[in-house]
Amino acid sequence: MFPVFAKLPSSSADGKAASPLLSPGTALTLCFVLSLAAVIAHSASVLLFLSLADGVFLYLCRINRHSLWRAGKIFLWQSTLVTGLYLLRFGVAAGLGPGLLISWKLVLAFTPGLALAQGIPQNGIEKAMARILPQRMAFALSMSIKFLPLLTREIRAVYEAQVLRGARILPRDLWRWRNWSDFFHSLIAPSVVQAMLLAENIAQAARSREFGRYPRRTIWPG
Amino acid sequence: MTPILSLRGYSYAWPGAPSWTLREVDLEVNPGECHCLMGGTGSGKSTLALAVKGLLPAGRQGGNLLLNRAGGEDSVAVGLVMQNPETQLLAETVGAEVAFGLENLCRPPQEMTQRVTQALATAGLNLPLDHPTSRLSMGQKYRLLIAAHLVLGPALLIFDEPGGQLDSPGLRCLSALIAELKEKGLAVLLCDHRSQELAGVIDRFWQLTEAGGLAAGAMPLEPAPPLPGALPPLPLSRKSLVEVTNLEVDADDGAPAWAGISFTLQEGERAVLCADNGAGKTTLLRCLAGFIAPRRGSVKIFGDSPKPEKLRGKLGFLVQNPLRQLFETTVFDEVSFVLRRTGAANATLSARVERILQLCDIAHLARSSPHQLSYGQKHLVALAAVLVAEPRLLLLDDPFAGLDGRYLSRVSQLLVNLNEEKGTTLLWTTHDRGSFPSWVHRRMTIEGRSLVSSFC
Repeated sequence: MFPVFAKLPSSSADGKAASPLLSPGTALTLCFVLSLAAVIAHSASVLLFLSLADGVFLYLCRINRHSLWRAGKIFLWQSTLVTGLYLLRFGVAAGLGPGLLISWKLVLAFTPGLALAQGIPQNGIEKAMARILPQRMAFALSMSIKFLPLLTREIRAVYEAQVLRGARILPRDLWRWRNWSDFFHSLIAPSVVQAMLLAENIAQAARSREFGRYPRRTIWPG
Repeated sequence: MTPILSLRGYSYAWPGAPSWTLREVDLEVNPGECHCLMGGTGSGKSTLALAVKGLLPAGRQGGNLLLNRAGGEDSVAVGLVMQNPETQLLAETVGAEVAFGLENLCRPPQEMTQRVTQALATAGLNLPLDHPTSRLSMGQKYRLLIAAHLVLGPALLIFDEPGGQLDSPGLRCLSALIAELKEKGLAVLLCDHRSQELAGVIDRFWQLTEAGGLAAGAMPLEPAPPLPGALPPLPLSRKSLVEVTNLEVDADDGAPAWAGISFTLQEGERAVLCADNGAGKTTLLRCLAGFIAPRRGSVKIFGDSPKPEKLRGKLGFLVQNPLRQLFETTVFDEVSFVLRRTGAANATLSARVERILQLCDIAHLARSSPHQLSYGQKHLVALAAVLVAEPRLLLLDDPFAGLDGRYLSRVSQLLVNLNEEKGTTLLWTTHDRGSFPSWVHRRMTIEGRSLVSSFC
């Protein structure tokens, strides 16, 4: 395990998440800068530096080991898929290096967002975003982050039900191109519908408590 | 007495819909009264609730809907607690959640703490204001949502399908809370088809008809047992299909309420597992289907460790809210999907699909889009899509919460028939201890951290 991860909290004694060591505004800024840097970086040395910076950022956001382990599994799957596609398209000699580099960049681009979503309180993110964005947009963005785990669970339930209905969408199935139609047809399409339904339900819940009555909102002092 | 809510010949049709969902509805609700709107699944109860709250999109409307009190600067006329707490909790702490409406009304922050504390006390939720909402039980989440609406001082509070989320003890707590609210002069409108537990506080029952009209209703009787005939004895000589030994798992979304559980299910057995929401029912079924590996102990399905790719066609899994698994353009394609993927011949495929559609009484919908059917019909399509494979083991993860008695009886009948004809083993989970089906051989509950099993 990476040394800094060994000190990451699993959870505090009272069952609540450990408090982050960064203010929401600082975390939001760092998240944006680190993700952008990962997208525009080209050399392995810069990516190595960004990896260290991401490690420190994860620590400061106090991400627990369980969240990190889950994200690690997703990143591993994503990297295997991306590198595999490069190998298929360009062959081992020409595809391995670029494939690994792109996978690394993707991991570094998404890691700060993960740290922000998991480590920083959602109302803090909303307050920080409301300083630079219209309040409605800040609310919509913070809700997108908050409900990401619920949407993930919804998609997982659809995935598992479809696998048992015979859909060829297990990781090993997707090595065959003809199975990708099942992936889009039986998983992506209903998942998009679920995402839209979820968004509609959340919007309705917010409007039922007068969200949108006035252009600005006051802030709970707690 | 001036009514809080008055509907006179009110009609509504959703945008683009050819027919009225609500037709010429007349209703008056006075302060301190509790009215219950009953009606089958998809009859328009939620539409009426949204109409009263003013959340319906602009469709065709007729008649009048009058609220005696308009929302003021610091209050609202109507509060609406909708069905699913998971999508209504918008903040991370109890205090912030209740204060959300006050923030939207632009109330000064120094006023908020007192109003939030008072609303929480009225709703009977005594928790610190910084308590995370993610750590609440389903009953506590429901109370929190009630507080989040009470804080806005409504004159009328609407509950949309509380029975779909709360178990019997939860509904009894809600009943006591409604009695208190009525004493304070608040009017309450319940939209639920399962209202026995709340009957003591209901002043008037109304029935939404299939045509969208509203007629005087009566307290529903206890649902009749759906099983025709007596329960056949379970032969002891049959082999075990499911063997769970000292099972413990680590779930992605939190540790389950149980640990070290053991049980077996014999071929042809019908079992029900009842536990509160969040107790780990879904986790257990996912583990049986091979999607979660045990941390300790073992699971054997058909004598082997479960692997999803090996269970295709042999194990049927109907998830919570099975409507989300529908994706094809016709009912026939939806139902035949599993047969096409398991390599059934065309002649066999058509015959089996047509037979299951007939059994489910949806053969006339074979060429319809599953997405344009009613709520209950969609459930039947989802069930048919699983049953058509004639699985040897069928796992049902509380899939029919919110369905009315008519559809529940039909579903129960189908499952019993499948079990008797094909010997399919059934494991049904539910959050509602009051709705143990009468046709099961075995009832299981989670007490403490253990699984308690009793044969019927």
